[in-house]
Amino acid sequence: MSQAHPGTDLGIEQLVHALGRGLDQLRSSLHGLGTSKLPAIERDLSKCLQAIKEIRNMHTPINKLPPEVLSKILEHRRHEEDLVAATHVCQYWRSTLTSSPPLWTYIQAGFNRDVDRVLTYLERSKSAIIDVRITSNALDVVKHFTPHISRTRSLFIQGSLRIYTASSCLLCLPAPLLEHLEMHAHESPMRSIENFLGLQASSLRSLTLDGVFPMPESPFPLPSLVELDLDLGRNAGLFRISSLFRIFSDCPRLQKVRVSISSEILQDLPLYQVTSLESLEELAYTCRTAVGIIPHLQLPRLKQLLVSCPLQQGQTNKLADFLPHGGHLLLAGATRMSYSYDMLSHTIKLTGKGFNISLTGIEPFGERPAPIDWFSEGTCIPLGQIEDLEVEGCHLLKHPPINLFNTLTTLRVTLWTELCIERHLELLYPHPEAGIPCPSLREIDCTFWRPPEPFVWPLLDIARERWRVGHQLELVCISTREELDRGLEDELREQVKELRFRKYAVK
Amino acid sequence: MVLLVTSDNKNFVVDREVADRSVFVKNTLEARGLSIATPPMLNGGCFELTSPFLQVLEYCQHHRGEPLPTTDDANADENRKRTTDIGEWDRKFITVDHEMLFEIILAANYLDIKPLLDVGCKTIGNMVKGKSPEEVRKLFDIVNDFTPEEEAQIKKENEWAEDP
Repeated sequence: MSQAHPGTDLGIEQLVHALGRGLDQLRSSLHGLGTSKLPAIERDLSKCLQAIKEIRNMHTPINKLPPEVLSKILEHRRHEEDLVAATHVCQYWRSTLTSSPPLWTYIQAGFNRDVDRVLTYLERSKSAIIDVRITSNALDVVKHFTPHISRTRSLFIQGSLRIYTASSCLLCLPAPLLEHLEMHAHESPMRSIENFLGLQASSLRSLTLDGVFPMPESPFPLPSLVELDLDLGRNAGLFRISSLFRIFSDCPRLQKVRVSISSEILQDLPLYQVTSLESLEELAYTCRTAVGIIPHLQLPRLKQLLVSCPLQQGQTNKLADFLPHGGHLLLAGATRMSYSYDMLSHTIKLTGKGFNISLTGIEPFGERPAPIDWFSEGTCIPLGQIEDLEVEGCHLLKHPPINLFNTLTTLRVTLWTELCIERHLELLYPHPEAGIPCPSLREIDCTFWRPPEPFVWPLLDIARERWRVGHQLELVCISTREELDRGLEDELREQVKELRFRKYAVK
Repeated sequence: MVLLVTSDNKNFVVDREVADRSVFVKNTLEARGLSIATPPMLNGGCFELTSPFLQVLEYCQHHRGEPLPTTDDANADENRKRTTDIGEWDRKFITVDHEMLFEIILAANYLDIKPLLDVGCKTIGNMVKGKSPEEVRKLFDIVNDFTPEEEAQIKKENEWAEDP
């Protein structure tokens, strides 16, 4: 085993080459003698040859690289196989790489047969911080990680409940260096672990619980946690909302939370309990009840909100229902809004400079959806800031405030039925009392499926009234009435300086 | 301007901004308040240095003004290690014969030019990617110098290594 690297000396190298050739010849000739001493001679010769080869390798150009550089080369590996293969190249590579703990810190086990590999990695990583990934049925392997949880930086566990049973010892020990914990379960959930991570995981920054909820009933401070992803399926059993709020209370630095609960929910929070998450910037929330958690949260730094939950029959969702207590969503700068509806869901998205809201409601299939009342008085949408409106489907607005789209410059509309068209015209028609709505509107992009004949002409009136020379107008018509579209196109060409008219005939 | 003197007594006058790409040179100049640095004494001066040093200078000229990697960003360092991508210019720059490649890496390592060291290491890393030990030996003119006992151990390792 050699790691020293004298400079290249061509004379020595040639000599070593010659010696190696000579010894090879000698070994070949000894094979023919057949005496009892031959095995011992053979062994000696092998040692000599091996030493000569080792010396020769020391002088090959790549092996002039110092050990730390050779290790660095394998740090950039794409596959673990490359690392193991590299340790089989020569003595220098093997001794260098196997004694470089940082190379052996990513340890994955998918099956029981991985035990040898895991033990080798654990041994070679010495006391370095490790990243562990356990998947599928590596039940016999899990116990080997137990002594090393204290030096584990990230832990990923995925599999059936059996793997969590096998991991119970591991998961009860303090993990002071653990930064990332991800747990995915295929079957029914594991229950709460009272001594989860020894209640010591002060470095934990991200926590993903998918199908499992091992969080203890008692307080478990996670002062560094910034990202929480909780996903509980239908089989997760009754979930108490208070459990989630206990996490919120224990994690004052949370910045990003995604909660999706399909199981039964017990709303066991006191009516007026409010938790303030001072650092939270992104919240995505999907559950079976519309107002499960948000009324109980104060989110002063919220930048992105995504809520997906069902509508109760006959109920209209008000944006205010989803907003923090007494809070206002302040949209800075340009704002983009899009709205879409299909038979099963409707979505409204608001995006601005550093801000994004997306709300989805699930409609009972086959029932006529109630008109959306997002913008009625008392909601927190700041008027006069929406510049870009995208609408898909019907039932956009029940009673849109006349000044809602004062700053609107772009309107994209995709309409599927005749029912919805009238509402949209309200946006555009000059109002006798309020004057021309959308004074800044510069671009309209309309896609109509099966447009009713009376509709196109009012649009043309609007265009004539609203768009003067110098404005750009892009009108996209998808229509079965080709002759009607052609007439519209001709009319519009006279009104505007530049017209991009895309037309698709739908048979 | 900074005067750099190599171990084979060749002088190079370069802009301070170029010289500062080397953390070694930068620290040396800052510590001594000098404008002359005599950094490269690689491997006891056993091999010609001017040639790789010219290449290193070309690299530093091209990347002058770019932000230097900081040592306190552990995540960036981790990401840097995990990627094997090399930029277009760097890829062309590092397309040299093996011996020159190794010498550039040695120089980058000694002069502490982390981005160049990365480029060199990634290049070799890409060369060995997916290759068997025998193919790696052939590529870099290495012979199998393992003892029979070590061969047996390697054979055992191969059993789990082939099915990660």
